[in-house]
Amino acid sequence: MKKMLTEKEAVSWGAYRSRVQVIAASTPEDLIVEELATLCTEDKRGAKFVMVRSEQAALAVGVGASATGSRVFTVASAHSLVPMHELLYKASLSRLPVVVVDINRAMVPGGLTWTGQIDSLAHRDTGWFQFHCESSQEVMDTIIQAYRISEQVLLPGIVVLAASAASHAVKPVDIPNQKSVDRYLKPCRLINKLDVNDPHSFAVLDTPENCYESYYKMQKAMGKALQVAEKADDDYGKLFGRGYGLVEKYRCQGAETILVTYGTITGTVREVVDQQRARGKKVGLLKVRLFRPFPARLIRSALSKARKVAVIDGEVSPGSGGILHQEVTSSLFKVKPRLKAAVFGFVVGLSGDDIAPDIIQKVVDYTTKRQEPEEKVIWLGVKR
Amino acid sequence: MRHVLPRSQVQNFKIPKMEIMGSGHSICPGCGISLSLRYALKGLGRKTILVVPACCCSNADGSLLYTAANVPVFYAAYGTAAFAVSGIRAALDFQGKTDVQVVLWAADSNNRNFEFWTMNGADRREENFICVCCDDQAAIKARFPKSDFRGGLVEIMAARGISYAATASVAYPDDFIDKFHKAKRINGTRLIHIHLPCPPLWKISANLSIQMARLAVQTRLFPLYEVENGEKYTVNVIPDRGFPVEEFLRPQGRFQHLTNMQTEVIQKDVERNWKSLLNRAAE
Repeated sequence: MKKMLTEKEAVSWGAYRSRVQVIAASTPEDLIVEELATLCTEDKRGAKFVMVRSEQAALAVGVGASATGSRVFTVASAHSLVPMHELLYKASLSRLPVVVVDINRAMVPGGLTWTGQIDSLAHRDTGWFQFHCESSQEVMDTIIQAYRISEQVLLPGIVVLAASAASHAVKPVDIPNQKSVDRYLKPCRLINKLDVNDPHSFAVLDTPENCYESYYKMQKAMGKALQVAEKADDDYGKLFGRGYGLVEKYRCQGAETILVTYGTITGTVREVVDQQRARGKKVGLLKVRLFRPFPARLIRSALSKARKVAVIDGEVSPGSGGILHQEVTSSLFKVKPRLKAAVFGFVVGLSGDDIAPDIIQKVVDYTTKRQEPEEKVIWLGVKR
Repeated sequence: MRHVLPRSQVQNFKIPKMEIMGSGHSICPGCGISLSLRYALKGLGRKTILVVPACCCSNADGSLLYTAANVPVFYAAYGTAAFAVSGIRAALDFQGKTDVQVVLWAADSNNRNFEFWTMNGADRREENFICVCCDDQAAIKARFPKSDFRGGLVEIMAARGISYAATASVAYPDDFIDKFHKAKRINGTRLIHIHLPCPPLWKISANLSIQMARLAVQTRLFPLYEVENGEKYTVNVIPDRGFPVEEFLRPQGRFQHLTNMQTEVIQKDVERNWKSLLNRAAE
């Protein structure tokens, strides 16, 4: 079934097709929840909506419901994801398969509603897996995949889409039918849950050595999540004809320079790569779809033949550099065999500033003209 | 001492001999929290899920591998216990397990300060749960105790018209267990405010704790009563003669600084509150 949907509606459909049971909602994501409520009411599934007054509360509701064995859905956005921070740890260390959709927004004092990835990237160390999506279709498909991954490895996950740049754009979306989704995504069955017939305590007072062990197991589960995510995407592709890969190589064949980026920036970069190729320039694109666990092995192999790598970040870690740049660099150089490519770190379009094709063009020009980057962080399109 | 228990629903209720709570809790000697949990579970039965925020009550269940509650316990993050309750309730309702009670079990100042506003929200959502405040008066250690003896929690929640609000004391186990058993049979937001002693804070020896808890009721500092639907007041325990508050205050190290004049102020306050409570019950 094809429909014209905004990205927010695509989120609602993704959650609806995943048969979510408890929906914890607060105000800023009203459109998603409204649409989801309409869908759930129409077919009388009896999904429970709990309306609370903050996102911290929303995730607390989600964590409680997930611990009771239900499939849980909630939404957040920038200033509303941040109050969830403590609860993010609670969910991951309790190994609860909660899925949160984050509508990426910049973190600025004025409460800007433009896009920016810092809200989700700042939570990279909380033990949640993280998908960064490019389009409405990808968002919907990824939500369904996320539930499968989450319930298999018992780790919570964030599915990220860009505010404004994508969240309000109307695009055709192919909605898979419920029967096929049910075949792909089995009902949520947790062994450890709050059950009066088998009483256990959750998140109880604990010793350092046990907590240490929890982190070790979480790291192991992240390793497993990589394989599970790869398989989840393969199976999805077989069933619905749409696969995305954990990373996507676009025109990387024989590319000397590869641009690495994520999220909605990818759309613009794709366009520029096409233009470059039309002019006979050997430029390719590597899109990083899964940010946590970071698919280092896939990235290493994708970039193994490139002479130059340009990482395009939409965010910066002040005092260090682009966040994706750090991740890519460490996955290229910290493990043998070491790759000799020169890695350029660009920061573009922070806080929702427009990332037009000419900015990406500047990235290509800068990289092709130089053997090595002149500075660690190359700021483009910024007022100085 | 006269006990008034005019409750038709619980006429045939006998305190079960069976213990749900096991050994292994890590509560201090003489503290009323472990006793409260033991009594409460007798009234509530096994179909109970406890939600505990970070507070003294976190110890009531013991630590990992040695938990004592014998019912499922969920430890909520700071200031989110009532929301966790809502999530658990929603999941149980979705699964059709409507006979399972969700109980927010919080201690000391936590419930009054940290969790109170979340409880307010739960009440606004007309959440179906029992909220328990184990009040060891820890919040008042640095303050003049006058206002805190008023049992304001029950009054506030009763004013919001919740289906059941009651006080209970560990020194009156029959009344205590009865109230939990009664609360279990009512739907909607229910509150039970438990008064219990904290020996290190009150600066009393552990063997005096039940005696002190009883004196709080006998001096009418902490009256045992209940409010149904915010309207129907019932005073459950009416002391034959009210002991002077001094009897409760004097043995406690924490009140050694009180002057006679201050004690008199407390006495007057207590009498005024007691009279107004009796008036409400007579209406």
